[in-house]
Amino acid sequence: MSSGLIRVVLSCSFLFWAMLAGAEPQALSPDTTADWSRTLLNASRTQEYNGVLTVNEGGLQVAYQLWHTVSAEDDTEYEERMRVLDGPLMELVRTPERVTCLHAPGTEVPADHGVPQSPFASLMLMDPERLAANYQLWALGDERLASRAARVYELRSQHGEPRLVHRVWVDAETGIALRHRRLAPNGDVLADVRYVTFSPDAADVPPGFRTTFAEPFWHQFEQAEPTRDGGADEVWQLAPAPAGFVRLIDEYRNGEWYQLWSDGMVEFSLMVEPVNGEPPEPVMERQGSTLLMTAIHGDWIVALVGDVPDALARDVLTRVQWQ
Amino acid sequence: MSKHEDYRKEQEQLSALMDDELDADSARRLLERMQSDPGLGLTWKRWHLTQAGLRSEAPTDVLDGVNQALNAEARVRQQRRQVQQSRWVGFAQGALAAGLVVVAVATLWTPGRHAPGSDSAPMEVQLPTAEVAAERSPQSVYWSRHVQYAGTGGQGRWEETLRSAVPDGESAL
Repeated sequence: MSSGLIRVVLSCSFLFWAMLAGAEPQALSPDTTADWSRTLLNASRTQEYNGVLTVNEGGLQVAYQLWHTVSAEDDTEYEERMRVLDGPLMELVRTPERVTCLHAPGTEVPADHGVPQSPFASLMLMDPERLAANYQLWALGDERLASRAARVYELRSQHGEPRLVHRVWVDAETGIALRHRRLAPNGDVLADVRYVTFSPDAADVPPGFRTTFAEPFWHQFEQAEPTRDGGADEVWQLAPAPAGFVRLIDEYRNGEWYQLWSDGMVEFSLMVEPVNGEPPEPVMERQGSTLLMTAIHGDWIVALVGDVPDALARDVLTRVQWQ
Repeated sequence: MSKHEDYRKEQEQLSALMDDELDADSARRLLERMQSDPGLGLTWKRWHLTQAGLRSEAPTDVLDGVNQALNAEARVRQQRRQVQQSRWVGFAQGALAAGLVVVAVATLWTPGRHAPGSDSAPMEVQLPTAEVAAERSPQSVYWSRHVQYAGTGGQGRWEETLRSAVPDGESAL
């Protein structure tokens, strides 16, 4: 979808959304939910913008400056640059093909894995159809954020099992996400990513951007090549799977099973490996919205990592079985 | 050709050079690029370390890790074969199979490593009782694998990954 079309759609629907402003939260239909997520995904990729955003997650607070530029010929060709403002001097450059970390003039490191594809990484994962089937979208009203008019939405699970709640502030003019909060079922804020300044253009990308770096170091990320839906070799099964979750990756390597599950909004990894030596104590630790929990099944360790509440993780770990 | 394709081609050439299968001109150009590209040079060094490990020239801890992984895989494959055998025997050989299944099950339930899960006796699952403060430990492997495959990973975590990967004697600042 072109940026022009996005703006036209947003303008035409302004009256409808204005009517919702200040009103009670409104539950939106599944079709609207799917359209909403498609528009959000396209807007953040196909338009030009810049700003300063902050990330608060798991005790970590970092500020970034971001520029998102789009090719004049093809608005699906973009380049996004993110510079750390208050931490080690680092810069990320994202294109549709790859993510690169820059640490010094001329030093480029491919980072195809291990780096989120967007500052709003959770939103970029959205699968519109699956999202609409599993989540109810609520329009909460209008607010101002980063000196911009923003519409506030909330995604709540339609299933009985506990899930995280996602609150998203969307720029009224461009349809780009300005803020994303991930909340525990009890309302605790687990992660908060937001722009503090935002401008819908990228004209002032500073020249000599890479010359800000000090002494270089670099790291090359390993390329992972997961086998999707391998199936034939699987022996460990999650049964029944949590409502709405589907398996995206299923692979066996070096004596370990790895599976990736998604409900269209969040993902969790499931790993099973044999215990070497004395069985360790089960552990649970949380970094922001992401939880790690392990369980001991006889002589095996089962580990879950993902954006799920504690209760759901416990359920999942007890449902893992040898088939 | 995109940057991504360039990177792939470069990795293929490195691999060919390792195997002494790269023609002289290409090898010379690649070695020249290594002089100016520290990333390429480090990849070359890492691959040599891996190869040295396979030839038993690597430090002991590297070999230990490889051996542990191989042993774990062998154990799991053996267990899977046992499970598949017990199923096949059950269908194919009728009454005689009953005895073989008993043997197979007995094999799986040998002391020391239990066959995971069974319909008649669900395995006891030990779960954590409370959240624990994490230090850098075996758990970091699980975080790394999740970040490697999943898209979320935490926005700040890429910095942590990079900081932990800084070679000795070098610094971000």
